[in-house]
Amino acid sequence: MPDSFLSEYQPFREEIREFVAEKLPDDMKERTRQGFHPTKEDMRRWTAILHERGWSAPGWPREYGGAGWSPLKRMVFEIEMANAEAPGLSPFGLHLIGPVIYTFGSEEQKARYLPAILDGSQFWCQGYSEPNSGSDLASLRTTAVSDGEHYVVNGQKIWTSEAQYADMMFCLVRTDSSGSNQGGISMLLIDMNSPGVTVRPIITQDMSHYVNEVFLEDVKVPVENLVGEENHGWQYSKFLLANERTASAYLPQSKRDLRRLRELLGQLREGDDYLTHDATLDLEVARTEIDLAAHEMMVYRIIEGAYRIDPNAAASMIKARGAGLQQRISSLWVEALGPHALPLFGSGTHESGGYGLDLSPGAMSQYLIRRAVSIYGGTNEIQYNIIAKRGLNL
Amino acid sequence: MNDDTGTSGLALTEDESQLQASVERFVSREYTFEHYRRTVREHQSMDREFWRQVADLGLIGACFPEDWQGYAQSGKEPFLILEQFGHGLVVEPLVSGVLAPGAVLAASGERERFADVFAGLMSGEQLLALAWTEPGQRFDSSPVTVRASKTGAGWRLNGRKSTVLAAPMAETLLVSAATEDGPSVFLVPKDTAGIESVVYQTLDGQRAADIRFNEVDVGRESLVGNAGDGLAMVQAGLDQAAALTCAEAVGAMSAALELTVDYTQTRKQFGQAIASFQAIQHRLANMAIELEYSRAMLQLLSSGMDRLPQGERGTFISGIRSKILGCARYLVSEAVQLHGGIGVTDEAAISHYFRKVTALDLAWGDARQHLERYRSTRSADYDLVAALY
Repeated sequence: MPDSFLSEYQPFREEIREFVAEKLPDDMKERTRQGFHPTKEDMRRWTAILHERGWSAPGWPREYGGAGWSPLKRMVFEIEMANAEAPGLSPFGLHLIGPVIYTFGSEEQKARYLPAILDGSQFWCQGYSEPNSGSDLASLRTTAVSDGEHYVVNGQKIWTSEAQYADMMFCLVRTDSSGSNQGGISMLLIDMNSPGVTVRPIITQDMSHYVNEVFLEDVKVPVENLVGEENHGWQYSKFLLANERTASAYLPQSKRDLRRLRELLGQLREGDDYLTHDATLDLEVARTEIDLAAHEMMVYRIIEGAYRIDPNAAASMIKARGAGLQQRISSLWVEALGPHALPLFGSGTHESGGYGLDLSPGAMSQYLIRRAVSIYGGTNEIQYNIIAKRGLNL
Repeated sequence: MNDDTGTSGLALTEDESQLQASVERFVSREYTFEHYRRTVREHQSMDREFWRQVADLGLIGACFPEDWQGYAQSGKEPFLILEQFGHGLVVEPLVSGVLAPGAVLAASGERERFADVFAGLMSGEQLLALAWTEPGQRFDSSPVTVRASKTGAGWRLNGRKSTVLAAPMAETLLVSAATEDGPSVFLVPKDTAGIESVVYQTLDGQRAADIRFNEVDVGRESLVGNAGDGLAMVQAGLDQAAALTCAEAVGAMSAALELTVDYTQTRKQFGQAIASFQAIQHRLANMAIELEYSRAMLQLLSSGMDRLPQGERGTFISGIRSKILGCARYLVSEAVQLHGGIGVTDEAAISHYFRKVTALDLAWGDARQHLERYRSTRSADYDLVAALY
């Protein structure tokens, strides 16, 4: 049999499966399997467990405590982890600001922040969106004025995920409003316990609390918390996004979710037969499997650089289609459950509550929250604009 | 594109890149839109001079695996070649007249016996036509109306085949027929007494024929493989064609998108190029996505097919084909729409891509039929990408 670019990872997949079977606590696995967003404590514990094995930051270079794996090996890892029902880790430290700090940060910043990200002891959030800066992020208006020793920050952030957990926020602020929008932005690392920081929850339609408003009133941030150079923040945030290009495809999550859906169909009866054999539903499931396989191959092509279109356009393609797959799978899931999908769990409650909730407690929450996947991180419409401009030169 | 990452990588090897580039150059130089139209109009869809060039460049032999006496290395060669053929609207029947019937012979278990046939196909001197479709059935390949009965000297064929692609230019027919032992395959020279054909042109400029067999007597040696093994052999040919024409579809999609992007940048309405309208841009963006996703699927197909035993290929090919051909038909429909009125004329190249993709879809099992085959044959935890592990 000829080799493929994936076949060499077969032993590695076994290694991951063995590790998870041994190390993933049962209660955590069960909460994940049921479709709940991981709790702060689960994320902390699981990050610490992975850190013991040197696997909490697969993509970081070894010199900073990462595993130093290639992007492809990292994707194989994440697919296996998700498939084994390991909880997702908080991405803000490990995947977003960590690489920015070890690439552009000062030695003091590296020493201070990286170890606490790696072992899961410190949580981060991302201060990007503002009430009037959604898809047009560069129009942000939160200001930072330096008095030599501190930046004094004033403004408001919104849709800030996990701000209620976070010890630190990496925040885009305006330090210069004379030139272009993008040119006057800087990146600050803000201690969430600073006076003047107020976090207010936003409850989403699944009755959960993931996102917040963050108000910044005369918050004093030491000048040594500036990342890199003043007015270069846009560049760092683009680096951060480029680093995370394939994460927004949600490939590991969609593969896991589709597998869960197919297992569920084998447990539900309609008339004399299991739903697996309901031809109309199964046709949609089959179509989704095929589309997901195409998506998976697209992600591998992007990881391996085996494509000929503009990289930004390629990233927009997997972002838009990845969002569509997340929505389709969660939609099929609640349709498979029918009336049993109607009960809605609030965030964090896992006690038993009737047939539907016992069968698939997180199904409706996921269906509801995934409406946001095609909105955050640049709406699908923005992705199409990018594809037209960068991919087709229109 | 990345540098060579070895034969097992996602990126093409150096040899594959060179092949791709040389076929791309050859097709764009030789096979202009005018050349295509002349071939259809003046050469009955088969320009023998062009075909000799194709053979002399080794492009037919490059599509043949080593165990068919060809010189394919990775198995990706026919996909690379056919993608360019699709891009250039090449109408000569590389799949229907060579590779699909070749796969049937290869599945017979008698490859040595057909060494001369393979050599004739590779040299460009011979074409075969796979006569499998029958009146009254669609994609069901079990022969019913064509029957072969044993005679003292061999076999006698009766019945009718319809829409046999490449039959007008082929010298020999590969015919499926019902026998008392079950479906079987026969190699029959087209000039055998009792064969009548009605020739016509298809929407994509190919030539096809209906063929009647009236008391056609052939010798024992015309039976291919064992009597009763015909279905599996024909299926091997149909699967091969279903897979390879995906590459033609991707090439055609790519050309159709290029034509449409160019057209929308040139065409002005209300004082500006229509490509400046967001409604148009978003449609083009979605076309571009479907093209890239189809390319990704084609890569899965070309790198996964040879890793699977013959018996497991059907589900794999059907799943992938349903995606690619579904995307292709969507893309060319959008392309015609964005061209406006000119898009539905014979004069506009885009209409020929619309017709080409439609023909590719219908000839070898359409997207819907392959989706159903995938759905009904896959296992409970089937994963297309698992073919690569």
